[in-house]
Amino acid sequence: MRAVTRCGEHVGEWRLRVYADTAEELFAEAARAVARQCGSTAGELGDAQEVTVDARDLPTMLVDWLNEMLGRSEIACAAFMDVEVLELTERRLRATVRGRRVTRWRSSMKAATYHDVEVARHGARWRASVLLDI
Amino acid sequence: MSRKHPQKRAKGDERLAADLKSNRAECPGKPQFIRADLSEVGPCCYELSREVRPDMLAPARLYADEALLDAMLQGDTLNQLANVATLPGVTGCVYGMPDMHMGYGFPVGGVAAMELPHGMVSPGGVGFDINCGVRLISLPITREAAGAGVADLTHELSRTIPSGMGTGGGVELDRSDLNGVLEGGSRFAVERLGLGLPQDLDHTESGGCLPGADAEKVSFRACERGLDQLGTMGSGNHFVEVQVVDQVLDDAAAAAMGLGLGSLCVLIHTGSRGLGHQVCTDTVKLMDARLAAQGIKLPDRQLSCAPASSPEGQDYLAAMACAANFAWANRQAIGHRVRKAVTHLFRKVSGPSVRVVYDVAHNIAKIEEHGGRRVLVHRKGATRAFGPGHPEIPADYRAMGQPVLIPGSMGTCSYVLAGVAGTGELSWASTCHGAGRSLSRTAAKQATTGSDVRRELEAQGIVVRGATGQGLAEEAPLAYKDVDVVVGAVETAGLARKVARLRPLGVIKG
Repeated sequence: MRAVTRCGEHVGEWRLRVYADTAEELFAEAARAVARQCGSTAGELGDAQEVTVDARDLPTMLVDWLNEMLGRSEIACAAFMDVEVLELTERRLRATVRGRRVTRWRSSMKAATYHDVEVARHGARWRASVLLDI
Repeated sequence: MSRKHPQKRAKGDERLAADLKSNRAECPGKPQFIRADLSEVGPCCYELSREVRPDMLAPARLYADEALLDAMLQGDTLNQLANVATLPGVTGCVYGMPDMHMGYGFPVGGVAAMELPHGMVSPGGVGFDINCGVRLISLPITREAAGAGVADLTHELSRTIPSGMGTGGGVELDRSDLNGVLEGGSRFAVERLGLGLPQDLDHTESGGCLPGADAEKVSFRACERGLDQLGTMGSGNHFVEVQVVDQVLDDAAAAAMGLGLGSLCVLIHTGSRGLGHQVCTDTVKLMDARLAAQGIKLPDRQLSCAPASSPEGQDYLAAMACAANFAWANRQAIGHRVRKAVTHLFRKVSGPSVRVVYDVAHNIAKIEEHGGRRVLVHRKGATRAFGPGHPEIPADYRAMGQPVLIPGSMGTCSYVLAGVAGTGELSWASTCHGAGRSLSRTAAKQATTGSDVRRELEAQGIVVRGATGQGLAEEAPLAYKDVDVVVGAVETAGLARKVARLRPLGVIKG
């Protein structure tokens, strides 16, 4: 089944919910969802960049991973929609990402937060919930 | 703060860590407060006592009228305020301002003071946009005299002030200049980068430079994000507005501020951009990991904190000061472009006659003296408001109280207030910071469209530039509380008094 994202209600911020068959796809789709919020893009995909994130557990990893991608996105002025998670353990995520140049920004995302962050398996599907400051 | 006596500091850290652990054991989870949990203790003032939630170390007071209070009772807002009151070292009361709404960690509109030297400093009590704030600039032009020039000025400002997320178009800095900005703030921007006039500094909170800044405490990633963002507005709820003084409510104070009825001004709302976001991200991650390693669980992980005297606390305060200085320099740089645009369009206007009325932070932690004690005041979505005579108020405003700038939502009025005496005991000398959101962005987009908002603003004679349809809908006035009601509650509660009301004529959104 395809990974899907949903926006949850929060008066001031943006609650992102992601559902996927595997944890790897869950993390990849969360990053793509953030990238889609960046704005309009143009041009070819850039060179692949390898990203490694270390954390103490999966919920912490999700927040740190999204913050890593938000920082990279702003510095490179790119939306990293092409995401492949190569390795994911409880403590480490390794991925390759490729981005397109953002021509008009739409995002006002400042950061992902640890507030009520969740990553868990429910039956056959993985589910994540994370609040982003916008 | 002193870095001496490491042994003494370590003992303090251990004690507070023990406090945190023991306090968490009593944490009852997430109660949903009801109206009966609050007692009315003054005009527009309600208290949540420690008896209501045993892990609170201080009472929580919130300022609201009945309607604002009803809104605060929805969602998790009061619980978030109560969570703040569980942090060791908290002193007096924690406060919720009339525009308070649910955030994460601290609620937006929350104020808390911590004992020094060992009370907690929490980056979540400042927020990701460190020193998000407002600068008001008065112009020596009336609306009547400006005529069509108002639209021209709005257009010129939208052309010359970079907006939107990301980078580009701002002041080009090399790493050495960036370090100068981080440690010198607006003063460096004026004296070394030629952005503005020396008198601008006199009318900027803290002179536009927070002491204790150390650029070495700012990560490489944060510096990368900030390197080409000086002089840029950003996106979200940030804006630049051309406004007219619509009502004068305190003649003497308004005259001192150069706010004559019918005169034009420009309000700038922005902060420390990606640099500040990264400083907060870096520190929350570090403090969260440290607390986890010690087995300490907070009611909300975004409240992660460390004793202000600890190495982590000291490093955050030094990095936060850098980000605050970057934000002041950012508003200084944008103000410089405003001055250039005004003098370019209105040839008879001189640069010095385009005056900074005041510049205030509303996301910051500062060491202040209250009642003879030095405390660390966290304001997240709240504005400092010192009463008359305070030494930190500019000399020409000291007799009337510190100017306080309250931006309304897009298309609605903003207010200039002045601090009043005795508020140190009421709110750590703080007021609201704006209207405060009442609807989520999704709900706002369901309730209106960008084109409808644009049409309604234009029908009121407000020129809109730079905004996307989505951005207009998300920031529509219906998504916010009524700023008149919020400011009314501030005045009724005795937190500040009204000086002037400003009506928007031109809006530039990020």
